[in-house]
Amino acid sequence: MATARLDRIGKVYENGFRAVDGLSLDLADGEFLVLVGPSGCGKSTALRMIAGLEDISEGELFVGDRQINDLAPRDRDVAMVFQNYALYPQMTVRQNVGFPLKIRGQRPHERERQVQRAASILELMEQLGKKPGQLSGGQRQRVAMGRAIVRKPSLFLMDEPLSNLDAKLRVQMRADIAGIQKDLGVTTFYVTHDQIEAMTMGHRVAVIKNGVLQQVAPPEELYARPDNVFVAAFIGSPSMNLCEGTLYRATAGGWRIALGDQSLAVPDTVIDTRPALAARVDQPLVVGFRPEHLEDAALAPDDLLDQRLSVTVAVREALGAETLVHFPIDASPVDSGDPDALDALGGRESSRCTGRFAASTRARVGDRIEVTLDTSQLHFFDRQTHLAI
Amino acid sequence: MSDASPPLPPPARKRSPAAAARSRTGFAFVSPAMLVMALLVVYPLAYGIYISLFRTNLLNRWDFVGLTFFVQSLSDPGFLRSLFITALYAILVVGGHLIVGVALAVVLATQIRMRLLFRAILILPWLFPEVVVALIFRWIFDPIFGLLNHLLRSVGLISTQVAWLDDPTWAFVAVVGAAIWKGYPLVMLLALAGLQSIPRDRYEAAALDGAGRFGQFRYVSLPGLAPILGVAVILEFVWWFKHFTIVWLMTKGGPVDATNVVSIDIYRTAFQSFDFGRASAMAVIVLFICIAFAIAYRRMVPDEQA
Amino acid sequence: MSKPSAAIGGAHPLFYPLLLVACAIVLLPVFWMLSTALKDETELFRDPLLLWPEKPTLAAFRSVFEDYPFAAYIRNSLVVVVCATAISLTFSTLAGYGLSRFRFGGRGAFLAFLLLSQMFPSVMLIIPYFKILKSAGLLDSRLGLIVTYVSFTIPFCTWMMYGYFRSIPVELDEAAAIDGCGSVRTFFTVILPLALPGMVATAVYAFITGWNEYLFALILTNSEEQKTLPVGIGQLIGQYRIEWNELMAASIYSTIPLMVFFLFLQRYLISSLTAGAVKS
Repeated sequence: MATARLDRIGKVYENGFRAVDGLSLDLADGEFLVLVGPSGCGKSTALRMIAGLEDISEGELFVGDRQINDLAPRDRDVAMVFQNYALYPQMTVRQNVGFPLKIRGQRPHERERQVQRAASILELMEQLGKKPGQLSGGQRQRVAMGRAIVRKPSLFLMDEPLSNLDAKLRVQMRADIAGIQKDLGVTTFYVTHDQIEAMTMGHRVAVIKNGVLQQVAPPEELYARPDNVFVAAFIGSPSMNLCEGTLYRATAGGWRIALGDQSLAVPDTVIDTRPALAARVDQPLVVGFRPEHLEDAALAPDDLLDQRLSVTVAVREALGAETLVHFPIDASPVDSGDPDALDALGGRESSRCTGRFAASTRARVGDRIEVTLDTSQLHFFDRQTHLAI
Repeated sequence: MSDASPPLPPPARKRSPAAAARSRTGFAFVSPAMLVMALLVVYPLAYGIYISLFRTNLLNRWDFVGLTFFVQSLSDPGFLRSLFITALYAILVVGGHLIVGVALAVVLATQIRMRLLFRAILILPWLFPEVVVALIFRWIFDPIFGLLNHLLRSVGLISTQVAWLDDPTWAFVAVVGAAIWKGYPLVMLLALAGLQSIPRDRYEAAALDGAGRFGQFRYVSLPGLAPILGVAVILEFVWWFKHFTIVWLMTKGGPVDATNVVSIDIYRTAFQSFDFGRASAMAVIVLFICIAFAIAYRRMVPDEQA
Repeated sequence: MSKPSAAIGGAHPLFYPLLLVACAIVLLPVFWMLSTALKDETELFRDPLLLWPEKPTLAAFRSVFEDYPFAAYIRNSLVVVVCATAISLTFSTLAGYGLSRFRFGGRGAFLAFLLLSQMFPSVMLIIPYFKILKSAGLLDSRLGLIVTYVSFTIPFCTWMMYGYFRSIPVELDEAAAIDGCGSVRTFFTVILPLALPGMVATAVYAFITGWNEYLFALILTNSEEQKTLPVGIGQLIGQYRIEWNELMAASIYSTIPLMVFFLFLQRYLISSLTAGAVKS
């Protein structure tokens, strides 16, 4: 059990490439922190630096009060679960799980006790005599976890442990891992590219892009108050809709927002709670709104009468519990900076938007419909810096 | 999001002690082999080059002659001729290996019945020591009691006994043939592995696009084999360029120097004429030729060195 | 339009005759070797030729030991090749591991040299070796031959083990490091057991190379007591009358170990040879 602190950690390679830049994080004892970001953003590199598998080029790493930059992995008292599990093929499950204890000189008796304990937590009792080659993917993953928990280390490190499992297994393992971590109370770094894992498992989530920390906060805060466009687009599925818009004062008083050639009313509270916004009137901004704040106007004909968009449905996905409807609007699109994001539907001139409609919607492809947008839930970002306003 | 501006930038580390320790460990693992190679390979190599600068019998006579032997050899028609013969030999043998090896691999890669039995038989020549191969073929080519003459006479292709190994052209053909017989299994195995690593759906795509059996071979098999075979060809060429045993035991370089490959030439210069300096110079020239091929090899597979 | 079939798949009818012809070409010399070895002197030089002895006899197999110090040849080959293989294997396994896991000064040069050394003509090194062994008094001795054989099997074995270690995921080393192992322990406890197949294959290739080697043994030995098998066989030609049946019997003896290896280790040998190749 320990706290962990990264102080401006950086990784620079010989050719000058910066994988991680000025990363600072503070973990409380027993906290589950998720490092999330698109592939290649440096999150795995950061994890490996904490493990001691990569040299730290810049900054300092602390576990508890000790600075451990120069310690070999075996002296750091950390345990790691690898993406491909890295189980020793020639050893049985029992031997794999007991290996760290054996290296540390524990007697076979005591070792067996610990192995049994770990195996029962992870439901591996039947598998103890088998070799990794005889196990399924999910079982191997649990053996890897068993090897990590058997030692009671200061820190758990997990490098995308679920990414090689099929979808259903993943959902179950998410809950299992979170549960185990809570029971054991070990401080944990968890790396993933899947933002759903991040949101469901972490006490706090750190979003990384190109080696630079974008924001670290509990999941709800990341969702409701993203600090920049990248975080806004990355967190949440389907992604937040982003486009350019301009805020202006209506001739009859009150605020309005122009999205392309359409205009919607904006409640005064929006401006009142964002003082900096007042200075940006009549300037193009990046505007964001989540799909769940859009709805088919036909289903609520009396709501939000002045907050309507007139659109043509491009794609319709009926999911059963709800229906996703995709449509372009005539506002300039915004590149969120996520390399894995799909290109805008509809080309350069318009932005592609997604709405989460109730399943009862009658909207069909090609229909021209009215969509309500709850403008009190709008997010605003600076067009140049992409920072939240 | 931390915002306090730190008083000093964090110390940038050029190379941590951990990296230095890892480097030392790696070196420790490698050093026994490195040491042995320095003693047993590099030193003799350097010594060999040293010898080539002297006229010597390795006992009491050491006259420094500088590059004389190099110049002499490169202008000696006999030596140049043996280089030519050797190159021709290597090209023919490696070419033979390629044709036979790839052809057989293509056949063995399909669902032939008793595939494994055929494969086991076809690998056999590789298991024979070169000495044995040379002798068997020499016996087969024997003028009076050789199997070849006997078989050809029984089917009426020839009427008198032919002394194959006494005729310059046929002797050359014979040593080439024996070498092809001995060495094709290696290429066959490599080609087989290469073919089996080509994903099947490439063939299916080609078939749907209209390629027949030969088209599939040309557009799918050959390109897929190219990397492996490319490397193999270069190594094989060098290997058979410096070959000695089969030719020596079958013809001793004759008749009339028809099969006088360069290794035999060097051997005779050193251990029959006792002209060690000249022989070393000739060997150094061969070394440079082989290195030229090594460089060609590196160009083909650059990331081997990474 | 006939059913499209992948080239790797159905067999063309022409394939069988082709295979049979190829097998015939392979087996004919083998058969003839066997037939010759089983003949006695009178049948050996018969005109017209006997394709198969009328009275097959194992006389040649026995007399080869009586007429020549054949047992000595075999012993010498075994001792020299086994020792050289063991030494090479040890050093090359350590070096192969080091090369595949660590970066250190000179690594690139060493790798390049490994590759380069496979291009050296044996004739290039024969003369210096002759002189060096002579000066060290190691000419005409098994020890001298062992040293010589180690010199050319080590580079090749190191290259093979390097290739093999590269196929073992580095993650295992990392897991071992995190579990508390130092480098030595990681190597012996975790990685070495996984390298055994590669080591077996490398050892067999080294053995085959040494067992077949002719030129160096020819020059570096001259007493009957010290000659190796290939040299012993090769010189059976230089007699007044070549006793072909004894020659063939001797040849069969020398081929047996390789056949045995191959029989038992076929899959290992082929897969490691080709695995290395396919990866490059």
